[in-house]
Formats: sequence, structure tokens, C-alpha cells
Amino acid sequence: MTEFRDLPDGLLRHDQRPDGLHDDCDCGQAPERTDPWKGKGVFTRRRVIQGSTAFAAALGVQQVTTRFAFSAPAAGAAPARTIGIISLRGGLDGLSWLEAPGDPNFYKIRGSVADPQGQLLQLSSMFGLNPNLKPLQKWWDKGNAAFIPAMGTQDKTLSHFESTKIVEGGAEQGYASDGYLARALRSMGGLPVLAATSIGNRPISMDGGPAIAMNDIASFGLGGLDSIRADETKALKALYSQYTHPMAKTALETLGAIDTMTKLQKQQYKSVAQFPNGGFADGLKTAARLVNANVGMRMFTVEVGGFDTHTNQKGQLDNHAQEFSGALDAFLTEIGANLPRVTLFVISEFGRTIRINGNGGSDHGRGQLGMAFGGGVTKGLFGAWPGMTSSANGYDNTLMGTVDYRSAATELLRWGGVTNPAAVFPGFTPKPVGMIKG
Amino acid sequence: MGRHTTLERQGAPDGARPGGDDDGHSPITRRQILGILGVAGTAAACAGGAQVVANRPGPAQQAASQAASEATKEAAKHVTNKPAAPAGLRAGATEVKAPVSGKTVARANDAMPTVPKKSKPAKTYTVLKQAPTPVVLDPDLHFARRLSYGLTPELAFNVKKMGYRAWVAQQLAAAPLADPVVDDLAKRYPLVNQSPSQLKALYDANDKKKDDDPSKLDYFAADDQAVEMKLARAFWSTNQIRETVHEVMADFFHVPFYTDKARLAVADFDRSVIRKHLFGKYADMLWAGTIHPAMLRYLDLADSDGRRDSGGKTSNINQNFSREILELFSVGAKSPLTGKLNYDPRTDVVNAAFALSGLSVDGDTMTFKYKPERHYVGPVKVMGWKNANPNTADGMKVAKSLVDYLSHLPQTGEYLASQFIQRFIGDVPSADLIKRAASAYLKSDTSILEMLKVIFFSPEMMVSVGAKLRRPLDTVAADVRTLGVTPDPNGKEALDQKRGTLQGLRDLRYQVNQLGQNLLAKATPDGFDDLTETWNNGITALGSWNLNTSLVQGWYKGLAYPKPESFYGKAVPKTYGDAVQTLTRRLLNQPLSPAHSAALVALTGKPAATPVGKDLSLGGKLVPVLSTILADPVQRLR
Repeated sequence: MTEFRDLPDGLLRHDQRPDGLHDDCDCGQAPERTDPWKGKGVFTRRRVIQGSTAFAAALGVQQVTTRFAFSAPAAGAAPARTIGIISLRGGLDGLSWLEAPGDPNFYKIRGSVADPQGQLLQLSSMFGLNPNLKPLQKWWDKGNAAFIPAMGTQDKTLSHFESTKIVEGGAEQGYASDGYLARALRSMGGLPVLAATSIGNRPISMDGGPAIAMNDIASFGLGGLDSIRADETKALKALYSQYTHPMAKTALETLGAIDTMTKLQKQQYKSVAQFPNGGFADGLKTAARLVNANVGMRMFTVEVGGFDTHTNQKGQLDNHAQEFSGALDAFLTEIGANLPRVTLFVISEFGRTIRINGNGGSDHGRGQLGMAFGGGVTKGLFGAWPGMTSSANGYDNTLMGTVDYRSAATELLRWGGVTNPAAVFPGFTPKPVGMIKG
Repeated sequence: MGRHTTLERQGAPDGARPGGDDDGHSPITRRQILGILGVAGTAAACAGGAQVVANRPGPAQQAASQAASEATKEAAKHVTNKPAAPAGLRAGATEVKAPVSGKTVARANDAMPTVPKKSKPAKTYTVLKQAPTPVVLDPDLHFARRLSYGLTPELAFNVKKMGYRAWVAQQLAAAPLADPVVDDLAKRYPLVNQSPSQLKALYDANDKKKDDDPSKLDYFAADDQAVEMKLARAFWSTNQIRETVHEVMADFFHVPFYTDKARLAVADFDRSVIRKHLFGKYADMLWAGTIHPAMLRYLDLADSDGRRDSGGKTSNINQNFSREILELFSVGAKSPLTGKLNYDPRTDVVNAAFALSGLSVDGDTMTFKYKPERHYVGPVKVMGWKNANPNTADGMKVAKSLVDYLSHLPQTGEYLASQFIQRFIGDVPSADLIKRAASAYLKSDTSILEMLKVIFFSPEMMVSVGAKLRRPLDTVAADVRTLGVTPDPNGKEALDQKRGTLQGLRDLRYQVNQLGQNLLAKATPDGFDDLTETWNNGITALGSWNLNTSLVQGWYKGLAYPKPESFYGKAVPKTYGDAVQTLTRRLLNQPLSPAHSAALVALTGKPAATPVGKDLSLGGKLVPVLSTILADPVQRLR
């Protein structure tokens, strides 16, 4: 095959160019610079086959290089930063966790689900934390906690299913073709296999990306009998080593990641921190160990359910607050000296109604509470408070978000090493939030 | 036509190739090979009825091909009620005179791979090369593997006996084959065949039940049942080509399951739009889908209103569906041949939205309803189609006229062909094959079947052995089929009452989902693509390996698993070395290379010459040996 390098140097004549590469061509048929299918609100659609991929093939460029090379971090190299995304499934009632005693309507509207002002952990004249979140106060005092009391999303459906797709897709309008974290990861390129880890389920935000899902460190790797796992790994290496193919290369890298994890499994490991019981705390414990082991993890996701509190929410949300803050406190303690390179972002698919319904619960609403913890955080409360009246919010009985979660995520992704985070949210113009260190 | 000039340079006009890489063993990547396929095909198109000559496989691959014949015989041993030994099991690829573009001939295994003597000098010949692959070069097994969800011993046996042409013809016949396993299982999935109106009535009653009522169905039970039936069909249907084609069409003309606003209608869309017209006319499918409540709701056409407000503006027109019918469901955004835009993304989309306004849904019955008062009145123009559109009474005719216009455009044939070729041949379709397939589509009044015939019996198909990486559903289905896992006739206790689905199927579907393919439920209307770069990652690698182990060990409830010892067939192997070879032939339908064999024997911790004796479990290592055989690269390709 005649390859591209055999063609003359300099600008190619029109008739020497493969399809789709007529930029600066004398034919004047340069493709539109702005691809209308990547315009506002519309994401990459079905791949146009004879475009760039065919051209790369004609070049003899191996386009299907594996983007997630396995490489142990070099000794002495500064470990990369890690972003953790915690999804509170069901839609957290933010006003139950970050209460607003300073709002003249707060006690009037919230009634019995509000905690008395004396018991709240006051963060400002307006806001105080639910006393069950006490373990978070320490991190606030240290400067490692931030809150967005009225964080908004582009979702208007208020359906769990739809809003999860919409928020985690991150498109300006409608659905995105893949998850926003997946897009961010792909844009980073050259990442190790363990760069993205979903602890438990792999969420929609990771769709189309390289995230590996694991329940915990102990169960990661090849299934089957413990006694034979090492031999199986060896056999697989033999099977895939004989063959050059992108798939074989990825397989070998995956086996490398399994080796890394096997080493971790064999190590004696004792937690410094006291993690509470429960799946969420277990997930964060796994994440903390992966951070400390420096396996090259750049992003991880953990999710926890139980926030769809339509009835009798006070007790449920207080319990969840204890578990959540206990686990978070333990995580931040556990990572110890790694704290400066780890930041957590906490988000729901939507918020809830301001008023409490007849069953002592709340229903689906728009604005929600955003939270961030860790080394990349600037301590503070971010975004304007829209107040609790309908007139101020423009919607009946729901908070209007004053900070779009994508603005916050843009800062976070930039902090985490995504060089062009704006491209992760095409069509959306992020506004400065200041929650993440510049 | 600059493309052609470039391609002729690459395409070696006389078909002669420099020696070197003709043995198929040069270390070039598959992507490059696919590139050759794509580019070379274009050169052939440039030369008109060009002759396409495939190279012969190298000696090692020929040896493997012969061994494949033995492997197939081995597979035959595992077939129950087998007929007499098949006559003329063919080893390796044989000469194929594919009826493509009239004069085109593929000679996949010819001793003389270059130019036929009587060719006219004006013609351009293009060599189509088979890329190096670990998959055995056997045309029958290749067709069966590529066009199905994976070989079973029965399928391998039948296709060798019939030959791939007869097998494909049988699969494409108007009447589907008897499908006893699927039919029996379908009785457990009654919601799949309910119309949206029936489901609406059912759920109106269901919603009144208390949450702790065991007979109360889950919110998305109909979707659960339909998606799990798809899984069941992929695993066990005798009509395998129908099923693989169904997946392509469901990704092409896509309404995702679990779409809240289209709830109760998506299963019917799958049945009465996609499946009904699968081997029929795409024009019929496109119109049926356009006026289906699931699509009308999903892409908001049901809410579109073409009336002008007091300011004369049509502010309630919704362009969502009209954009997607152009971009995804018909002509596509850009031509796969020229890369040019097929339509004006502003005016054509808006005009299509005007022409289609009024197509809506009666929410009480969940049926299609034309609402004339919402239809836009006035001249409309989309690409080369125009209509005076003078009144609301004829609005539906206008809409149908536009949809028919779109389905009959060459660009639609080309775009649809490119998607089928990506599924069935390679990531980068050859322009020539796109044109041939689109031409068959147009000549046959948009017949999907005629297009498929051209693609299946193409020279490009012949040299694409092992060229596609399995997607997650392919991966799970291939394991189930290879291992002979079936629904458990005694598995009734594993039926989930609230969803009415078999637990094992639900678990396996979760596996497909976690490997990255949210089956038939990608939120966006573009469906999942079928490209190596999308599916080649650590999740699919590790996930597929662990799936092997869990299936060999029979972890999922409600399914029946053959005993691991049954994979030896009737002949008891003498040594560990024999055992590993026998098992591999049974599972992968081809023999092992010595190095693979050594790696597998090493897993037992004993030398290859160790006698098996009466311990068929190979000292307790049979299960890991089976899982590791399934972890072979061959099992990840189709």
C-alpha cells in the first residue's frame, strides 16, 4: 500500500487528498469549519464513516491506539490529582442538610422538618449544617469544604430516569451521546486502565468512557478460584501476547492492572480512619485505598441511594446525614497526606420542593444542594441564594439554581487535569464559581 | 474526483502487489487493513465493473483452515441427532464467484492471486487482502460467526453441511425457521406482545394496586420484558441473521427503552416497526415509525404545533424529530461517499418540521392521531422535495410524501448500507460496496433484504474474517451459545413476579449493560456504534473474562448449564494435552497453536503427557481451563 509518506511534501493538490481533508485546498471545497451537528445542544452523532477515520487509515496511521495505556506511575513523579463524584440517588432535599435559618421564610415554610437554630452548625448568618453532619464541620474549619446552596441543572423533566440521563450526559439540550465524565477522560488520553473507576455501578456519566467498575479491591480481577488466579493470568498473557491487535494490547494492559490490584490485595492494609458501616462508606474506603496506593486513578464515582423522600423524610435524611458525613470524614482522614490532590463533588439528579407535603416528605424540585470536599476546594458558600418565595424563584415551590453544576464541574475538571473542560459541555458557557482552586 | 486519483496510486492498477506482505503476515494493524478495504474498494468503483481479487492465505493459515475442518468434525460429535457425516467439508476459503456489480468476482483462495489473463487493459484491479487474524480462514464458519450471535455446535455443523450460501439463503427466507425455545420462553413474557393501548389499560389498573401487592408490576415491566426477550432471541433463536439485523436496525432507527415519555409504547415500536419490516421495505419501516406513538413522544413530534401565533410566528413547532429523521434515520448528516452535507441543517430541518406537524398521539389510548389543527399550512421544501401544502385536511398526505421521498433517496441507501457494512464487514466500509448495496436498495424499492444480500455475498465480506470485535451483547451471547446454556425448564422459581422476567436473563442483561451497552436503551437517538475503538477497553476485556468464569460455573439462576465434562464429547481424551485440544475445538471450533496449547496445559500444573485416566476434571482444573479457552482472542472476535 502506498502510504501517505510517499506523497510529495508540502500542500497536497486537490486530487491527492483523501476525502474530508480539503482544508486549504485549491478546490475551495473546505468542509465547513463549524460542524452543524456539533453545534448548540447537539452532540456527536452517528459517526460519519468516510471522514477522519478513513483518512487516518489511508495515512497508515494507527488510529486505534489504545488510549488507556497501563503504566505504573514513575517513581518520584508527582502523583496526578483525583476527582471523586458522589451521586446521591433519588434527589436530595438540600434544605434538610444545609438549612437556611437566615431566610425569613425558612422556619415558616419548613416547619417540623427544620432543626432549631441553636442546634445547627452555623456556617454563615444565612446557613447552618444539619447537626447530623457534625463530622463535616471539622473539614469546613480546615478549609476543605464548600457548598452551593442553590445549584441548578438543565433538567426540567424532574423524572428520575430522564434527569439522570440529562444531568450525567451534560448536553445543553436533551440527551448527550455519552457521559460528561467519559468525555473528560477521553480528552485526557493516554490514561492507565485504572484511571477511571466506578465503585459499584458504572453511572451514565461514565457511558462511552474507559471507567472500570469494581465493588471493592478484594473482588477486582479474574473471577474463579483464588488458588488458580495467578496461573490464569499467566495463561491469558500467553494467549494475548502472540497477536498484534489493538484488542490484544488492551487485554495485556488490563492484565497489568490486575497485577497491580493483586499486589494490593496481598498487602496488609489497616485503615487509619474509622469508617462507618454501609455500602457507601465501603465504597469510599475502597476509593481511599486506591488513592493511597497511587494506581493512577484520576476519577472515581460512588453512588448512594435513599434520597427520594416523599414521606416522613426527617428521620431518613438525618440517618443518611450521619452515614454520609461519617464516611466522608473517614475518607478525608484516610487519604491523609494525599488530601491536597483529591477533591470530591457531591450531586443529585435534582432537588426537591421547598414546602413539605402532607406526608412529611418533599417532592421532586429543580434546584439542589451541591457540595465539594478535599484539597482542591476553596472554603465557602457559592452562588446567590434565590430565597424561598415562588416569586423570587420563578417556579412554584422549587429553588431556582443560581450556579449551574456544569460551571462547578468545569472548574473541577480543569483542576483535575482536563485541559479543555469547556469542550466537555459543548454549547454551554460556564460561569466562574470560585469553589475550586484556580 | 480527486479521491480516485489518489486511490489509483494506492490501488496498484494492474493488481500486482510487491511480494513482501502478500502472505498476509506482515505486522500491519487491522485498522490499516480495513483502510485498504475501504480505499481499494473505491478504486474499484472508479473503474466501473472492476474485478476484485482476494489474496490467498499464508501457509500457516491454510494449515489452520484444514485443522478447522477437523474442528468442525469435532463439533459434529457434539450434535445430537446428527445426520450422516456431511459430504465435502471444505477446508479454507474456496473460490467464490460473488454476483456483485455484475462482473465482479472474488477469488478468496486462488492459487494465483493476481490478474486474470483475459482482462481488458483499461480496467483497474484491486487486491482485497485478508488481514492477519487468529480466527481460522473458513468461509462457512466465517459467515456463521459473523452473521449470528456466535457459533453453537449445531450451527457450525449445519453451515458446514449446507455451505454458507445455502445457510444464508435459509436464514433470509421470507418465513422464519421454527423457533421452539424462543416461542416457549415468550409465554413467560406476556407484556411484550401487548399494544400500547392494552398496556395503558393494564397500568391504569396496576397503578391502583398497593405497593406491597405481589401482583403489582414494576413501572417499566414491559420494557424489562422486551429487552430480556431480545437477549433470549440473541441466545437461542434459530433465526440468527434476523436477530443480528434487528440489532442494527434498532440502533439505526432508535427509540430507547426506558424512555419515560414514551413508556408503554416502546416494546410495540420494536415489534410493529422494526421487526415487522426487518426484511421488508425501509420506506414502510420509516413511515410506520414516524407515526408510532413511541417515536412521536420520544422525539417530541407529538407536541409539535405548526400554527402561527398572533405575531405570525410558528413558535410551537418542534424540530427534534425532523432533525433526526434527516440526520439519523434517512440521508444522514454527510454523505459517506463524498463527505458533503446532505441537506441544509437550518432550512431543510425547519421545513421538514412544518411538513410533519400535526402527527401526534392520542394520550388516552396511546395511539397515533393526526391533529389537523396543528398542521402548518403553506409551501414546504426539503432538499429536492416540494409541496404547496395548501390545507390542513391533506397534511398527512404531505407528511407521508416527504417521508417516502427521504426513504427513496440514494443517500439514504448509502447511509443505511454503511451502517450494515460496519456491522457485518468492517469499521471503514468500502465506497464501492456502499454504492453496490445502495443501488440494490433503490432498484428494489427500498428493500432491506436486497441490500443485505449484496453485502453478505460481497468479496469484501469474504476477506473480513475475524475483522470485527464483539460488542457486549455479542460477547455475552457468544458465551451462552458456545457453552450451550439454555433456559432451565425447572427454573420457574427464578421468575421475578414484579417484572415477570427470568432472573438469569436479567442478570446477564445487567452484565451486557455493565460492559457498556445499555441494550436497546441508549438515551440518544443515534444508537450504539459498532467500531473497534468504542468497544476495545479494559471493561470489555476484564468483563468478558469474568463472564466466562461465571457462565462455566453456572452462576445465574433460571438457566441450565451443561456439565463441564460434557465438553469432551463422546471420546475421552487420553492425555492432558489431548484434553485441552479437544475442549478448544469444541469451544472455539479451531485448534490451538502450540503456544496456546502449552499455556492452557500449564494451567493444570501437569505436563501435557499426563494421562487423564478417570479424573475428567483434570485434577480440579477443568473449569479454569474452560474459562481460559473462552478468554481466547478468537472468542472476542466475530
